[in-house]
Amino acid sequence: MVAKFGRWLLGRWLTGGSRDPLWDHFINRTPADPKNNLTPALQGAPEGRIYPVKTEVSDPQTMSQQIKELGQWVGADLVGIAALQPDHLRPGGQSDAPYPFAVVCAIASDYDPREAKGLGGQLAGQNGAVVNHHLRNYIRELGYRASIGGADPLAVAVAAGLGTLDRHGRLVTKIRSSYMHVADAILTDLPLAPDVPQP
Amino acid sequence: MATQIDEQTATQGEAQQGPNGNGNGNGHPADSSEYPYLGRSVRVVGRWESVDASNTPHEKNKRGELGKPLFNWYFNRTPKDALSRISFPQSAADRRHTLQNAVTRAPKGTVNPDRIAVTDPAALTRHIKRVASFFGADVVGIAAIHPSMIYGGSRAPDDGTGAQESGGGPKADSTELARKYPYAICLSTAWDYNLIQAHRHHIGDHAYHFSQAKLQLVYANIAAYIRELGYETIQNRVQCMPAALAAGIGELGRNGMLITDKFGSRIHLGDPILTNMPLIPDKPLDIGVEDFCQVCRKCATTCPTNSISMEGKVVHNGVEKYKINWETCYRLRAYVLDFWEVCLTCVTVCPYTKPNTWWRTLAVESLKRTPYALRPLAVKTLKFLDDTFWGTVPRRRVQWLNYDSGILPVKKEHGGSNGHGEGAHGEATDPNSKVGYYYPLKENTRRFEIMRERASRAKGEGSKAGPTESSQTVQTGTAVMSGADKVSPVREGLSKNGR
Repeated sequence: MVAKFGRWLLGRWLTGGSRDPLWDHFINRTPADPKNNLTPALQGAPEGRIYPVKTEVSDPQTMSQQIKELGQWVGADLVGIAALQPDHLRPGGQSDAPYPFAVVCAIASDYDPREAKGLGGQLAGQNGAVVNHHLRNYIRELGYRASIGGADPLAVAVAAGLGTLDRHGRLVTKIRSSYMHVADAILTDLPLAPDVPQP
Repeated sequence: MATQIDEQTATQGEAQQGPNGNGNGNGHPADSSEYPYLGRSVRVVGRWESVDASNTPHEKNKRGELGKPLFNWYFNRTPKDALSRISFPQSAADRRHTLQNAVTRAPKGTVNPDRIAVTDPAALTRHIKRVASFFGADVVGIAAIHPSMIYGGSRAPDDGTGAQESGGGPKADSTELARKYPYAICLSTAWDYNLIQAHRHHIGDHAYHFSQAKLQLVYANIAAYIRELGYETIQNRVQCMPAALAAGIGELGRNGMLITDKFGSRIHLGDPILTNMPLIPDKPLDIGVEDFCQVCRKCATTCPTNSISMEGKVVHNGVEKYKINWETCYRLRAYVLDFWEVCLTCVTVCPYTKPNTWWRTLAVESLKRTPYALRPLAVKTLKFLDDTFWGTVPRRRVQWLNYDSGILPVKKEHGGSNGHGEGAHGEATDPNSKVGYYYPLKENTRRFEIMRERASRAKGEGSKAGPTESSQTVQTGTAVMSGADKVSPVREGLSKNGR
């Protein structure tokens, strides 16, 4: 405890801590050129071809575990899998062939990307886009369909048991963080084992 | 314009050399007296020229100069392993599935005309470093740029990140670039320590390639932020190695990799950002790599292709350093595609590559504080400890996602999901075993020497070709197979038995 506090104090002293005059600029100031924020480009990255050879999934439980492990390894703090319900969908989100499952990731952050408009404040959103990019494309390379953006991520996150919603509509989880950013849900037909929602 | 600046700098150079008497008198702007100090591991002894970007390994391979197998490996590979296909553009079935592709194709923002006023460059430097760490960089350093660090030639290099665009704007003269953009921001991301224990395995590949993708994204973010602050950035122009040495990221080891303070060799050097932002450059590091590499040689004895020299330093391009034989190192990749893409053995065995814990910090800090005269003794002690606790070659079994390095790799022609997958090669011999199997084994990897010997035997001049080749390599000192030549009879016997 003492060591932790000492390290924090030393860190504040070495890096300038809150005395950094540009930090607020970095977190909160809207970019002059919106293209300097890479997040929309990553979120809207085009889908590639689905790999023609389908990998057989013998055990959905193992596959779910793999997807979660991979998601956490590439930067998500929580990864959940939900059985997709019709009320999770955004209007016009469902394609002709329905998706049975949704994978959703949450990223712990000190800043809320909806309020902090600077490049630093948007980082949680970008990390979510990166995790989604990796997971969606991994599923497509396994030979299954996967797409982003068809469902309401918060509803899916609650259904996947990541946490509950507070009265401001934010996700509350067991991870201690001032803000949990929920990335867009990935809809897929990869055979997975859905999680149980928290009571 | 460029010539004028050349002349100016040349006259300045001569004026500076006059009283010192160090210059070689030809008035070149990049004389040895002006060369930056790059740490103890590397010394500029002669004239250090800019490296021509079109002579870098990937560029040579793209032109087909390294033979058909490597050319096909570069352009036509599609791994059977699904995760490999999203980790790197060259090994993707569809490039759009890789993060590198998305970052490269993202539209580039413009420089903010409302430039932020800088009163304290030191505070700005601290801020940039903090921002880089916030974006996810593990090590950050600022280098003062010298013209020799900038790639020469007419092309922008392929730095191995899979980036497809070749920087912005026309290719300018290196002296002018160094004057206009005096600083380079060098970042690096570290590979997962536990995963790279599975060197020569897909697990290690993923540790490598995913951190590479992350580094490219971090670089893109930092460049965007600098543009947002109102300063210009240029990428794809600087050689990462000398810039990182000058920036104090680490020291150059025997394995040709940078060895850092906190992560050892398990880091990536991406493509440094050249900028005109006023910053305070860092100083080169001394963590005792120079003393360690003289004694250790663990990477040289375990290198599967014997590409790392057992001998001392050589002078290459006016720089005295350990030089690896990149060609043999590069060539093996085409033959082991089913099992792995990047080798990482020299990184894993390096005693500096350890988890970032207190005992590691203690060892490095004590070595740093030892006087130069006593360092060989300290190094021998540390190497003894390293050999005792971690063994001479790490062969730990790693299980991650659906991978398991405890499964014995068996070469199959077609079919199966990946080189080590369950479907491809059966099950682990012992489920509780802690030993991992990595392909190929050291004894069987005189592949290129054997191929060369066979070829010369087939030509009927085997008795002549062998000795002349080895004597040539010893004389030039560029091909570092000389260490391997000494022990070749033993290895040859082993390899024949193995076959």
